[in-house]
Amino acid sequence: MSASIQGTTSDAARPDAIGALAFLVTRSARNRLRVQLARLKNVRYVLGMIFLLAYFTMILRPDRWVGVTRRGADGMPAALLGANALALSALALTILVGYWWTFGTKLSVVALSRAESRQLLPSPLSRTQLILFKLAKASLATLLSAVILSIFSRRASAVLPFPLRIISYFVMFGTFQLHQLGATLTRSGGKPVGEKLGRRGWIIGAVVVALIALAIGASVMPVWPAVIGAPEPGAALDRLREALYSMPALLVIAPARAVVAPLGVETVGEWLRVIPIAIAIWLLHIPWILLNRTPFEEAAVAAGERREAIRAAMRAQRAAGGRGIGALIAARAALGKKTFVARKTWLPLPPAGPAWMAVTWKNFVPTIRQLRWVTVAIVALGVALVGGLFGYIAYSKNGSVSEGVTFGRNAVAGVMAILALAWTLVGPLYTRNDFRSDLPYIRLLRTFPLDSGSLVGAEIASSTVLIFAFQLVCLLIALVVPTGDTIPHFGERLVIFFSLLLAVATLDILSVTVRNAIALFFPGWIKLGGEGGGFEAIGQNLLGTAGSLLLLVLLLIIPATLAGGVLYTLHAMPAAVTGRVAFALISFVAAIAVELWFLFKWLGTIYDNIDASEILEPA
Amino acid sequence: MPSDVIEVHNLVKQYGDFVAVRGLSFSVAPGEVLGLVGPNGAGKTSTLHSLAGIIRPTGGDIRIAGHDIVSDPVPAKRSLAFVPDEPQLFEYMTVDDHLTFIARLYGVPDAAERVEPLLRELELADKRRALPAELSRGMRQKLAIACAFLHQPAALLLDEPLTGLDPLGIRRMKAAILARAQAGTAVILSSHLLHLVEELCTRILIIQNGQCMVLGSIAEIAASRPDLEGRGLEELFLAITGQDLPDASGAGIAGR
Repeated sequence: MSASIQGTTSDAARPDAIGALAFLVTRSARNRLRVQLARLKNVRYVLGMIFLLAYFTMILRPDRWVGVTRRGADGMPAALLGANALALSALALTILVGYWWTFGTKLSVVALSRAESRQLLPSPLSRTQLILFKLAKASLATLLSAVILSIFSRRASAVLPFPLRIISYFVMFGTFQLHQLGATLTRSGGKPVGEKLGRRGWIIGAVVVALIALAIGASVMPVWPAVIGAPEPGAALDRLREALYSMPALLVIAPARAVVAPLGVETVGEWLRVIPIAIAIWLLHIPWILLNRTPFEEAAVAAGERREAIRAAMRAQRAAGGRGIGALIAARAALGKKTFVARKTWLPLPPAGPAWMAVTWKNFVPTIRQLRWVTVAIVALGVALVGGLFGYIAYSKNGSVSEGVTFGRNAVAGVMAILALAWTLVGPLYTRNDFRSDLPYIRLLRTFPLDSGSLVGAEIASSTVLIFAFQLVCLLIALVVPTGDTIPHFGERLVIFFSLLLAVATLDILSVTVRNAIALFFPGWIKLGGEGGGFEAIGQNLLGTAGSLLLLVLLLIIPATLAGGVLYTLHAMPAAVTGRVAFALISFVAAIAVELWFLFKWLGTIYDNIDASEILEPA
Repeated sequence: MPSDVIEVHNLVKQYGDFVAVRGLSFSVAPGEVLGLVGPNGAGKTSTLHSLAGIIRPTGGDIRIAGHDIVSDPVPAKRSLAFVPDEPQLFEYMTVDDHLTFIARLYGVPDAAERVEPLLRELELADKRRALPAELSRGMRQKLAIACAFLHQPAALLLDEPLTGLDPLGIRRMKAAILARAQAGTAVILSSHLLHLVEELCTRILIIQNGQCMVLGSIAEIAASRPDLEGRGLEELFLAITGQDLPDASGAGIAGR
């Protein structure tokens, strides 16, 4: 018998874990690229690639594309982040760090896919090697994000050349990515991540948060009257920045500031001075994580499972009002110890009615399951606090309670209106209760007795209604809450309210349609199912949002032209302004409706023609 | 004689240059259970997916309850149910939610009366508010089957329906399938468990390389091959697909 059969290993056959993992990463990346490029045999994907190239050309060289003259360095700000923006970013990130230390985070960075957990966990890999492997993989995604952000921000700084911007973004995101992981491991206090946190873990979290709060509070509180009494916002921010950079706040702000600092420099020489510190902080995180002996594997597997399949278990526990980490539910259920009971949905589905509504209802259920009144209460409290803060500022300046209340109420209305409008941009990105979640189930969807146009409509309606419902609540508050002489009276507000409702509803449905169209056109290229990533996916999300906005603008061309044409035609007629605007709005909405009707039919055809093998089944 | 519920004529499914199914023709009458068997890569899944309307056939006709699955898909799909080998369940929907959803989707007005006995039959009655992630593999399979049974389809397509079930579950599932067939459902059952196929199916369709090798009852198949008379389905299958095992003392083992 040969030696190798007896279990001894010759030098030539010595296990090479790093080599094997490197092979896994590079070969997987290569094959993935090959598979994605192979899609180019399909005309749809060729068109997509042409659009993508045109899109990048437009971003990189708008002068060649649409005749936009590239601004000279004179017109650009020197730094990517101004002094006050840098200080506020550092403050925000420090608060975020406090949150991680208190509540921990999802272990998305080290989440193991099912294949990784089945193949790598039983293999002779050390824990260090496993973490390094996952960190290397996550770093590739972070690097891609840094490149995309550097492209987008190319005109935001006259100083930093492209490669230096990439390094700055990469170090910043990489550091916070690692810090999330380190904080979660450390606060576990040696217990396996995901198990009920011991007292030590909570003490660590509480101490970190208390230190941050005390240090910032001690520096900011004494100058707070000067901040709110500043003649203009810029001066107020200057004073706040000075306070944050004074002791003792500087002690807790300094690390975050050092990491963000490369984005706030005004010369390359300054960048060369600050980047070594940022890199050092980033590198120091690696031994911190590697030397931590907290068992994370189970949680990493759970995180991967959550990504791929058992997010439901996490939600189930929340829905049932239980405690602890939800990822353990599946294991408990498998062991037969306990089955969590999901809360009954409060939105019933009548047994009779249009079949497509069943699909929309099905897509609502996850949100209904996840919605907790405590979350609503926290959001309401946050908004009330904002109002209270603004009211207090007004009261401090004028000494009048009624003016304080008025200012506070109007601030709440403003915040709600801004939230509603911002949600038009952000909502379609994060509300994915449509084809983006459902396409992995295409083999099941195809068996449904629904024509494809109806299915497309049902899927798009699912996300649109959810996004719109949130905006409706926000705008209703913005309509009812304001008070005082300086704001439009209720009748005018009502007109503004309905106009905004119409505008956001239109933008919502078009945005969701665009995102679903992209999913239907390129199911083999885009991420389906699952949740968006963390820091590592910021760039990709930005790219997708900007691309969707571009398509959205294209879709608005015909309705806007038509509405403009109607306004222009009626301009000479002796009709009231409101009548002309109403006609223009009606033609705008009608054009959108016609556009959507054709789009749904067309997307239905695209859906019918999707090759199911392009889409991976849900795990 | 009732007309066939499932009619397949000259079915062809091609992926690029690769032909997965080559001119397959067969039909299944109400109450009949057709066993679809073949070696890996024979074209079983492509056939079932074509029948279920999941993939579009490259050529040929498929009619479910008289409706063409390509040109008239909605009525055709209303008459059929497909249970894939891996149950595809919506992760945020409870057992109850799944059945509510299916009832509305397929228009089952008396769903409330049907659900209770169905859940009892499939031993899911105490799991009504459990999410798929909390169910074992077998339980998830049962839920997928419950969804398929709920609207009492005229045609039932089952791909490895017993995977993950315990022995009692297997026995109950066999009884449930037979009960549906006796009630007039046309069933196609694809499985590698040949003893199950032999036990449940009235006719067998053996395919290889996308082509029909034999179609008929076991007795008819054996009669067409006198050399195989008296043998069971497993031996028939191996002989017909040319996959006869070497003797136990085969050279591959003896040569070591």
